[in-house]
Amino acid sequence: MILSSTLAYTPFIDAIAIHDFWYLLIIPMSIFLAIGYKSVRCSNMKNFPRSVAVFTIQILGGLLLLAIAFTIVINVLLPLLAPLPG
Amino acid sequence: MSLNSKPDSDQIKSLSDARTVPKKIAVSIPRSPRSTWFSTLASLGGSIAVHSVSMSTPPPTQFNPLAGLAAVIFPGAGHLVLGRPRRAFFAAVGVMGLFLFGLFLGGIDAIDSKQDKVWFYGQTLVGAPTFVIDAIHQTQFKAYDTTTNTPRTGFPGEHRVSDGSRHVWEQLTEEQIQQGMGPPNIPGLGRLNEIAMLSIVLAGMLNLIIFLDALMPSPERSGKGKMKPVSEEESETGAES
Repeated sequence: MILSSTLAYTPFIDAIAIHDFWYLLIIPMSIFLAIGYKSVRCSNMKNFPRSVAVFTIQILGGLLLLAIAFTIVINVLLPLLAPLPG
Repeated sequence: MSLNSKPDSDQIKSLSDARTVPKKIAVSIPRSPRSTWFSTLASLGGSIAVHSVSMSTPPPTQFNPLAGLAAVIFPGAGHLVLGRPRRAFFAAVGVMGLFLFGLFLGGIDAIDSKQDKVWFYGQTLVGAPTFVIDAIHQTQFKAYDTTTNTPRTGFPGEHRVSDGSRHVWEQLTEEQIQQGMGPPNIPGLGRLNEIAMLSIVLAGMLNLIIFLDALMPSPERSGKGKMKPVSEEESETGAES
């Protein structure tokens, strides 16, 4: 980016340019979400780390399954149902 | 037992024994004297009510408006008021982690009550931090466009100057751009900007759950789903009684 090369980057003020790795951002988001949710929904705080780990894996696993399902729909099913002309 | 009063240990024992009560009734009704019969009916009614409660999500122990107010001010503060510091800490880590992660990705432009109004409605659920950041963004980083007369984020090649009454965007020369001058912030673009705003909205939605839990705290549960009004210290440390 032109701006990144001419202006100094200031964290939390300027946007960060990591467009190539956007899909990896779901991992820290899932971890923070699991920590916050399990802080109030975990029955026993002794099991908190395990609950957070399980919930994070559930989120990531669910999203991965959704990604696989949509990939199949878009790349396999839709071309079968409505073939592109040509 | 009133739902608003804290149950004592005997009442809790009756909660866990609720499933065994109907068997006792079937045997004891024909042979009981009238006074016992009435008390049996009363216990039947009580057991049905208690049974229905124990089958669903545990009811709130006590409505706590002070904890709710604290939760609105800052994420996790409600649980601190409730005397659950460990839960308060992790709630704050979860909500503020998502909030700061969003700011880290999208910069201060990720919160904008004027140009991203719909996203901002979700972000307000985080509470005071969103309003503080938005106020800083609107007053310190935006300036007026002299042609449309509306405040906006700066474009590359502009800088923010005061014309006496307000801040406006002024075009930079090629030499000034080479020197590193520009707008006070670089706004996020495209998918990354959406992820940044989404992260802060997620923080807001998570904070709503935490706020409701602080306002109407649920009793702690022991291992096998029985309600257990343990003291806050026990629940924090995970101690079993």
